[in-house]
Amino acid sequence: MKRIASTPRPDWQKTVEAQGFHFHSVDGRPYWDESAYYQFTSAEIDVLEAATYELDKLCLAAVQHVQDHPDRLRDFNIPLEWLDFIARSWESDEVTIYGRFDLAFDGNAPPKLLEYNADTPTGLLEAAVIQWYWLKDQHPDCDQFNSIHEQLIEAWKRYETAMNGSMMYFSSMDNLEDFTTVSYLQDTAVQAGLNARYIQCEDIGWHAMRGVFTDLDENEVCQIFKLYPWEWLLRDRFANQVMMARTKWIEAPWKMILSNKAILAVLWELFPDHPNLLRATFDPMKDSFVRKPVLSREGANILIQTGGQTVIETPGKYQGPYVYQQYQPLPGFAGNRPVIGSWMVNGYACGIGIREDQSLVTGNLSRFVPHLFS
Amino acid sequence: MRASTAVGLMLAGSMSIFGIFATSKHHSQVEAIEPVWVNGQEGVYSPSTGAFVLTTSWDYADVCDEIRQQRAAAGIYGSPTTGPSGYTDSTGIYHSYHYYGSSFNGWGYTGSHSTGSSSSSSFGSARGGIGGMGHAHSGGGE
Repeated sequence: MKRIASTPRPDWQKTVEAQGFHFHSVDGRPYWDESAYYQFTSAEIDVLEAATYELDKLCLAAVQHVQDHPDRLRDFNIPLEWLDFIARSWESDEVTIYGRFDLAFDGNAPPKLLEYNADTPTGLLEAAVIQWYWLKDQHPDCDQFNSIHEQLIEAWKRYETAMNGSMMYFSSMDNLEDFTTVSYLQDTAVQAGLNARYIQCEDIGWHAMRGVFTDLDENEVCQIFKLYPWEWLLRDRFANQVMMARTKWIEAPWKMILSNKAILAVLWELFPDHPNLLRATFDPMKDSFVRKPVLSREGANILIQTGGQTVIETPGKYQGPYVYQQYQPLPGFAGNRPVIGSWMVNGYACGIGIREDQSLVTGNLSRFVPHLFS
Repeated sequence: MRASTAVGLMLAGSMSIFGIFATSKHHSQVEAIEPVWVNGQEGVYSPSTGAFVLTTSWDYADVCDEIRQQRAAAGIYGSPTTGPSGYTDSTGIYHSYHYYGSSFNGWGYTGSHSTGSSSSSSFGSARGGIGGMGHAHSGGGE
């Protein structure tokens, strides 16, 4: 695994915009950063792929454990009244389209799970489309761990048979990155043959007399992909309606267990010393650790302590309960610290996207850097 | 790892939608007021006073409206000029209409939007019951 400096394509901004990517820069600085790329060997890609499958297997076992011990939902800060709702979703094997494992990997030691963005991962268009075209433009003779797009289409095809020609809605907040992600997912669904329509989260209606969620034309919303986290949905005004309505939500409700950082401690309890896991507990650790609120997002409210000293504490509005995770320094490449986002789509480990930062914490402004292998 | 033939199909398909949203009404006219972080707190700056207003403040919607008006004056965004700025729901939480932008179905929307009740009226659905938690943050993805 190497980080290699590279000359960006002339007019790269226009190039990626033509591919549907409009948030390539933030505050005048590239978020999509092709001034460098990461180069892997084929063997290193195999390691990442195998670790992703292994972690997926562990995670599914952990969800089953929580289902078998429902009082554990308290560890996840999930209200117990949602127990049956989640259990029904799990037992009926409700659909999952995608998820992204965030891994620490230096090319030598086994990849370590930092967290699992199982519910509302973004960075999808960059990983599936933008870096692929970068590869074709810049290194057409090399390969890339990336069949994300194809697997998304296959995932929707599997879902199509259950839809009977009805409409699949796609929803997000009014946020360009989220809207782009959802529009891309909608596009893959259309390519899979689904009827699809976008609706903003706040526009989803509840018709009390009919007892159904509705779109702006008062059509029932029977199934919907929402780029809106479950932990917010079950605290919104329509939470009770979500629980009672027959609408199918994607990602499925059971994914809220995996997207919660409490799963890190549960995984360690179930699979201690697993080579792809970091030690994690609900009890405070001493000396060197990372403290994460179980429901925090995008690197907010992360506390890193090493040698008994606080190294960094990121701002945010999230509070406990917390999970404590063994501190795993990210590898440094010319002062940059990459996190590997390994995508699980349609049940397949099918690609990676890399975000790097000079900070110890990867946040929502960390740069996306392409990769290749040879 | 990936077949190049599939990518050609993907390009044709993705352009069908991405060509639309580059010029879509949704993103050419809906405001996107992005809060900033200051000293660990999220909020926006008032263009007229320079005051920093927390996203959790009751004044937040008014400052967003101020920003919206300024942008509208600059011809950047569409902007409704009349109507209420929001409503208070049955739990006392204030919800701004400003978030709805051009996708909002007009002021005085049917049913409970203008009354603050979470139940729907006899002639339409109640809206705004999903997304409220997201307004205190910056989008739902990560």
